[in-house]
Amino acid sequence: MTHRRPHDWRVPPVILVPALVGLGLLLLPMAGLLWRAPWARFPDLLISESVVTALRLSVMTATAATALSLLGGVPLAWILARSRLPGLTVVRGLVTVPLVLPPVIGGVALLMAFGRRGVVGSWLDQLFGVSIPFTTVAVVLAQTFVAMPFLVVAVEGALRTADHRYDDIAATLGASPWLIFRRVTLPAVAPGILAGAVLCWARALGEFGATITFAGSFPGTTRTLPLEAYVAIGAGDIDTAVVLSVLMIGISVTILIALRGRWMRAT
Amino acid sequence: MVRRDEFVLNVELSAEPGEVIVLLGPNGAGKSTLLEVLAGVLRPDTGRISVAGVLLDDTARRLHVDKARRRVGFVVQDYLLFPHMNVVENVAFGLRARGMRREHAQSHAIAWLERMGLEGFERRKPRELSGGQAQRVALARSLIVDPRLLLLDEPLAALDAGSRPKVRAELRRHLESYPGCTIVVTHDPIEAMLLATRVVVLESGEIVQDGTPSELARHPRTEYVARLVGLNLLRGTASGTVVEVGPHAVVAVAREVSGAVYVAFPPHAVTISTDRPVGSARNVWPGRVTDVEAHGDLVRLTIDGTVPMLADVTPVAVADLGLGPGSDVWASVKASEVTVYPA
Repeated sequence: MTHRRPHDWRVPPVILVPALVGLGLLLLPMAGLLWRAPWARFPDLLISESVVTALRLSVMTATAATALSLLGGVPLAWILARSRLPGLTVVRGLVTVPLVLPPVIGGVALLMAFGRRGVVGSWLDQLFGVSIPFTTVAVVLAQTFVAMPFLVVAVEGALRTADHRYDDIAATLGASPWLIFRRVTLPAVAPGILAGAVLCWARALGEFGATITFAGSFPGTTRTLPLEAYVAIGAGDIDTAVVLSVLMIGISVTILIALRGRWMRAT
Repeated sequence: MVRRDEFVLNVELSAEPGEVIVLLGPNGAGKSTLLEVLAGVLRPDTGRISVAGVLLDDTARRLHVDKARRRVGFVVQDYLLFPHMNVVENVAFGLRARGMRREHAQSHAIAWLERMGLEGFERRKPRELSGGQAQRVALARSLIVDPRLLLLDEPLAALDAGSRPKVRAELRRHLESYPGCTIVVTHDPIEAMLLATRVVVLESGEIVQDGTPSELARHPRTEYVARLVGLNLLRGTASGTVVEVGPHAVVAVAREVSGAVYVAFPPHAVTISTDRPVGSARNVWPGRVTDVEAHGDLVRLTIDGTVPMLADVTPVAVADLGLGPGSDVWASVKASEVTVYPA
């Protein structure tokens, strides 16, 4: 009698060697950070005013950007997945552009739209005397621009795999579109929305290029964690930069583990 | 009428309250499409639909009542109970959608569950139900909002063979107490015979036969229906007691008829011999066996010849006559075994 071994531990060297090189490229920089981290001064640096301010601003703006993305992104994903409006292929392509666009270019584009001389910006300025660039609102807009596609793609995928016949059945029972969306569609795609929102939040938290271009780097109003790290490096304060980096890696890893745990329980 | 790529569904059908119409037909005949049009999930290209005196679709007047306002109940093959709601919430959904208060809607739902014999299952989740229980919950969920028309798409197909007869009997009982018209889609002839007050046969998007189950069983009008009810069916022109069913092929019948007719006879009425028989049978045709297969405790022969047919014989006869594919035989049928009816 023969048994197929459930795990074969032998990996051919042609695969193993490049795999280890790839893994090294991913892990070595993080290991270097942890190695270099000023662990003795870590707590003091962590509670220094500039770090705490940046952390508070980052969490606040990333959360606001995620909320904004949910508000617009979930209905957008619904349209992309369920409706048969003409030109949807084009819209779907446009939605994913920010995923591949260099964030700095996104920042420039936002300036062209919402800047004082921008298409929408000049109008806002004239009518309400409101100027968006270089404010916390600009940070949120920059983060939303870059992070919302992650949410839309995740939710659209969840909506596509969800069985739309449930919606038809709910309709034959007399339910309005809003009731169907709330009581039938949303619960079915809730795990997808959660995963999308978490990815969106993490991407918003790490946003740098669009933020520095569109919102600048003002302590307390627009200088988020990644900007603070960049400023610290520029000023030769390597220790602070490393502490900020370790902090952000910690947040990312926590999110990934939390998501993992959530998915494991779901299955 | 509904067009879908190459497929055209073209149906004219009217039904009375209390009728249970079974739509019977092979796969791809358009049965489920017809239900989707009635439920308002699909819109007809041309045509009118009215239920209980209320016009739901009229393409000539560009009228289409949205599926949420048609009051047409729709129970699908896999029931589609909302998985995140418990049984009571599922059943109460339609009442809640009409704005009824939660406690009120749930007490109505509980009453329906009792009626369906589902006491004690109120707080269960759909995944904790058997197929038969899920079907009754789906039925209650549809019936609680008092639909004008009830549509059931393959209601027994998701069940295992063991539980099917019991669930079928229960379903029949529940349909009898429903005052409106029910349309059931199936491709199972037994299901059709047991549930229907009227059977409508759909083939390639057209209605080919419409009648009571016993009419269907006695007088099939298409090859598909004849096979379902286990009859050989031929079409021909009658004069006197002889029907010409093909060139040089005639069937003798027991009564005088004329014009275009169908003749039908059961496979077990066919007698097979290897020599030309010298009996009282007036219908004797030469033929060749093309296929032999087990059919219950008999053997079913497919016979090709001037009059092609199926014949059921005993295994002993097959052995004694040495029958197999390619055997030349004589098939005979008594005229009294042949049913004849106008085409």
